Parts: sequence; C-alpha cells; structure tokens
Amino acid sequence: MIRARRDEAEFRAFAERFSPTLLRAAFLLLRDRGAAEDAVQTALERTYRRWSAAQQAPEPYSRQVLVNVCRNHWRTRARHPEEPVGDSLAALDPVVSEGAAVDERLTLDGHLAELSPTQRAVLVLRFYLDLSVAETATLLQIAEGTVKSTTHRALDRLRNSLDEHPQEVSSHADR
Amino acid sequence: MQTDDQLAETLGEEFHSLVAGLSPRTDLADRVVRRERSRRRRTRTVGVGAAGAVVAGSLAVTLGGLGGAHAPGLEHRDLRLASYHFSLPRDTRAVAATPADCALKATVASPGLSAVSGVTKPSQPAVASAVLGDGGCVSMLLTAPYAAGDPNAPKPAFPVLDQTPVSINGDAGTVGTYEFIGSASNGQGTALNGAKNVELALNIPAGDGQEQLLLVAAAGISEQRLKSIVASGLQGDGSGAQSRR
Repeated sequence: MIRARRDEAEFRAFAERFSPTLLRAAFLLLRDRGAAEDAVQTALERTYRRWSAAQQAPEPYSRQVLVNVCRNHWRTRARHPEEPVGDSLAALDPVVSEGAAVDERLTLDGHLAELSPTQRAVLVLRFYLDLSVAETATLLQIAEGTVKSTTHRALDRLRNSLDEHPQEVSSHADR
Repeated sequence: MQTDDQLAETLGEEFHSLVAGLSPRTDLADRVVRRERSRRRRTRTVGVGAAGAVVAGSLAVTLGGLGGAHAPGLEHRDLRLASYHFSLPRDTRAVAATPADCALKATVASPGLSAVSGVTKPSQPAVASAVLGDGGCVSMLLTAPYAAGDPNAPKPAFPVLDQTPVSINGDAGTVGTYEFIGSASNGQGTALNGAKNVELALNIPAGDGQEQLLLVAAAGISEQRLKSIVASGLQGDGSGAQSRR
C-alpha cells in the first residue's frame, strides 16, 4: 500500500512535468487538438499501468507509447478520408491575431500538412523533441538510414514549398 | 536557399513557437490515476469474488466474479456457475465481470459452518455475474455442499423484505427484495445503498443428504425474468447439473 502510494505520487509528478511536452508533440504529429489530448491521455494511462517498468525511464517510455498511439491514429485515418483540421493553430495560439505571425504560422502548418505522417513525425521528433537519429529510428521502428533520408526529403519538400512563396520566405527570414 | 541545417534550426524554432500556448488540462494526472484505479478494481473484483472473504469466524462472500471459463468482456448467452448453465438474454453485454455501475453485493454468512460439518476449512463458493443489455445485473453464488438441515447452513446476510416462498424446478426457496447497506469487504464503495434488489435463494439437493445454497441477486430486472433465468439452469433433465437427486 505504501509502495502504491509512492508510485502514484511519482507518476503524478512525472505526468505534471512531462505532459505539456507530450501534448505539444502529439499536436504537431496529429495536427488536431482533440486527437492529441486523447493520445496523451492514452499514453499516460499505459505508462501508469506499467509504472514498475516505466519508472526507470518514464520520459522515453511515454514518448514511445505516444508515438505508437499516433501511428495507430494515422493507420485509422488512412482507412478513412482525412477531414479538414478544424482547430489547428488559429484556436490555440494566443498570438495568432498578430498580422505577419499569423501568415507564417498558418503557412508552416499548411506546408507541414503536405508531408506524409512519417515525414512529419521525423521532423517533429528530431527538431522539436531534439532526439537523435538513433532515438528517432527506435521510436518509429525504422532504420537509421531511413530516418536520415526521410529527414532530407521532408526538408527538401518544405524548402521547395516555401520557395514557391517568396513573400513568406522573406518575412520568415526577417524574424 | 537555406541548407538542411539552417532550415532544421528554423523549423525547430517554429515548432516551439507554434505550440507555446498549448497546455494539457490541469486534472489530467487525476483522470489517468482515477481511470487506472477503476480498471484495477474491476480486475480485482473478479479475483475477490471468486476467492471469497472470511471475516472473524464466519464465512462471508461477496458476489460478482468469474464464472466458468468465460473471459471478461466477452458476450455470452450462457452463464456458467459450477456445473450449471443458466441461459441469459441474447443481449447480455458482459459475463464474468462486475462493472462499476452494477455493484450488486450479496453476502452469505455462515457462522460455525466448519465446526458443525467437520470441515476445517470452508470451501469457496462458485460465483458468476452478468450484465444484461438493458443494464440489468445478475450475480449468482453457489455454496459448497453442506448437510441438509444443518442449523449453521449458509444463509443470506441481508434482511429480505417481502419474502415469499418459491419453487423452481422442484427446488424450494424464497424470493424477496433486499436493501444493500454499507460497502463490500474488499473496500469497494460503489454499493447501491438504499437500492432495492431482488434476491432469490434456493436450497438445491447435492446428493448424499447434502444441499447447496444457490443465491441469486439481481438489479434492474423483474422477479419473473430472474426466475426464468434460474429455471433455465436447473433443468430436470440434469443437463449441466450436478447429482441433485
């Protein structure tokens, strides 16, 4: 009983500390707030259920669970046509009302939407969560070489897309 | 034109900027812990219900547990209790699991059973439960055999109101309503305090001058329906029944 209470306290402290990171990563991966919140809750539930194993390294553990949940989400969405994302950025960022910032953020979101789920995941894991190639490969269950090539292709695609809209590029560079 | 490294750095900054205003709900950890506790309680009820609980010199058992070989959550029309098979309505939602919203608790108390019958350790009863499609719940308990006429034979612990004699397939018993008071010995607090549940108690011959008490508690279903379910498992042709005559 004492151990159970200690486990619960440790889990709570971990969840409060790390859930913002998980939610933000989930949102970038899924581009839908509701789906992201569901994914994070599921990831935390599974982490807590296996707390005896997860508590050794709860952050990588919960990250792996979250990525698995997101991958299931993509597979499900692939079977059904993707509906337009309703509350992506506009409803979430309090700064969204400011002129050029709106265009940049909406543009980036639009460009990210053009990437495949795997391409987007690689970029989010590497450049938002700052994970290494090896860590990214483990999470996505792909080879390290695939992570590198996917990164390059995704960045290329983004670059080309941004280059097609020079106004956004210059306003972006001016920041 | 930006290089990959330059673009990657810019992208990272953009990502952080994009989600800076996003925060999880403040009660997220609470929700997760609560849901997991609820899930563990449901799992534990299966084990506790099957194992029973002994309280200070008496045999007190909580209904609601695994019956037969059915896995929790699977839909079945057959509720198995020891060697008996009770037919359930087609829309039965779950067998062998006692969901939190259907907290039927019926206890059987039998002080001194082991001393009178000579059994040093009371045998655990068989238990089974099911949730019906319309939300009704049925929980069954079958005690180990005891000598017929034993004054210390198991009996229902709660006072039964409006108790009337009943005979099902030749077995005599009583049916009435009872009001559950308090919480179960395993600490679950989801009791239907003040709710009127139907309880049917039957003395079933077990051969060799012995009997077994079949205790069936139900909520959300009529007495007549409950009798039909019980009757379906006590067929005179002996299908699935132990030696009863």
